[in-house]
Amino acid sequence: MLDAERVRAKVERTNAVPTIPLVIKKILRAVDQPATSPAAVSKLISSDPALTAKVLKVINAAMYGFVARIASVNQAVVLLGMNVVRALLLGVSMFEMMEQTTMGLWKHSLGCATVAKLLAQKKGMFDPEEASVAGLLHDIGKVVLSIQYPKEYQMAVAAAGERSMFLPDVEMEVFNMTHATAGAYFANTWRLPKFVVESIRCHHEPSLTITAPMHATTVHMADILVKAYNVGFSGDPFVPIVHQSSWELFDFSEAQMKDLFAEIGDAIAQIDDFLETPNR
Amino acid sequence: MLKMSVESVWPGAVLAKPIVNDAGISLIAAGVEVTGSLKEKLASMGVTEIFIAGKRVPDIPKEEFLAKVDVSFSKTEEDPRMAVMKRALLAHVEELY
Repeated sequence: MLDAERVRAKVERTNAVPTIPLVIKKILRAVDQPATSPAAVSKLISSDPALTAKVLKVINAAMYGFVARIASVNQAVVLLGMNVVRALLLGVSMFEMMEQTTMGLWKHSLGCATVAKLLAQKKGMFDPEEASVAGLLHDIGKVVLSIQYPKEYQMAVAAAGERSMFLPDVEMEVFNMTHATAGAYFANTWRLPKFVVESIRCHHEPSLTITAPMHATTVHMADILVKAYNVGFSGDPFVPIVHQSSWELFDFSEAQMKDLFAEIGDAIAQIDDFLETPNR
Repeated sequence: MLKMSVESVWPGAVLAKPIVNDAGISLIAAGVEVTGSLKEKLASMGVTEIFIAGKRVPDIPKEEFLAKVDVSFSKTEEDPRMAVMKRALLAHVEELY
């Protein structure tokens, strides 16, 4: 078993990984300067057309139900705020680095973003766009661990399959922490919004967060529904038990839940179309 | 709901989502029938794909879908909450096919 403190230190150094595009590092540094205006950040992002296209594609897909509503980075920054765009940017570029090997995880994450937004809209509790970003990034720890420990992570996923185990239980054996903890360390280093960090950290145990209980509860429920529907692949096929508080908060009847699955099915079909279309 | 290219939409199909411009303003409402003249109008607006009301046929056979659901819930279906969720999902699968 690896030492948790060492894993943490390595996870927190993920920003030093050479494969993270320079433009992203520049943008994240710029955003950290209090004097940087949103217009300057938009300009920096827009200086990389490929990145701009990818970010807009994901924003429109996960946030606006696949109707292309946001046409420019500037518009995204105005509508969603700099922190949310920054979180998206980081998430998109992390997944981009891994695209070939983690297509299943990307689909699972897009599914979770879509369903989290759907749940937030149903409950009207908070900004559905925030639910979407939190859903999109909830498993970022898996990406980080597989960047920093490629061999070990591959073995962990294989072991979960062979031994029919929940992946987080195997992660504990190998890394002495789960992807949820690793993802939160990572997100914290990048100073992502608190609700994103807490949703990542507590998406298996939403009762653990004090600062973002609604976000974490929503992402927890979305993650489980998406796993139940077998959307993408998140490392193991098993649906964990939904937390009591999450169940009570949404309070769906069996019939309502059936209708919810129908809505999820529609949304997932659109994700399939989206993933099959190289550029939209 | 189905996403289709404008040209392949059949006569009598109904928009499942509104057509919006870049600013998010709805130009054509959901529920409107897609007629020949509407198709021409959409083409002139540069709209190539639209959402149509209807049922999508899943791309895997029912047996395969059900088998996957069984695996997903195999560790937790004893839990009363998860039993409700599984029943709801199975009822949805029945409606899909």
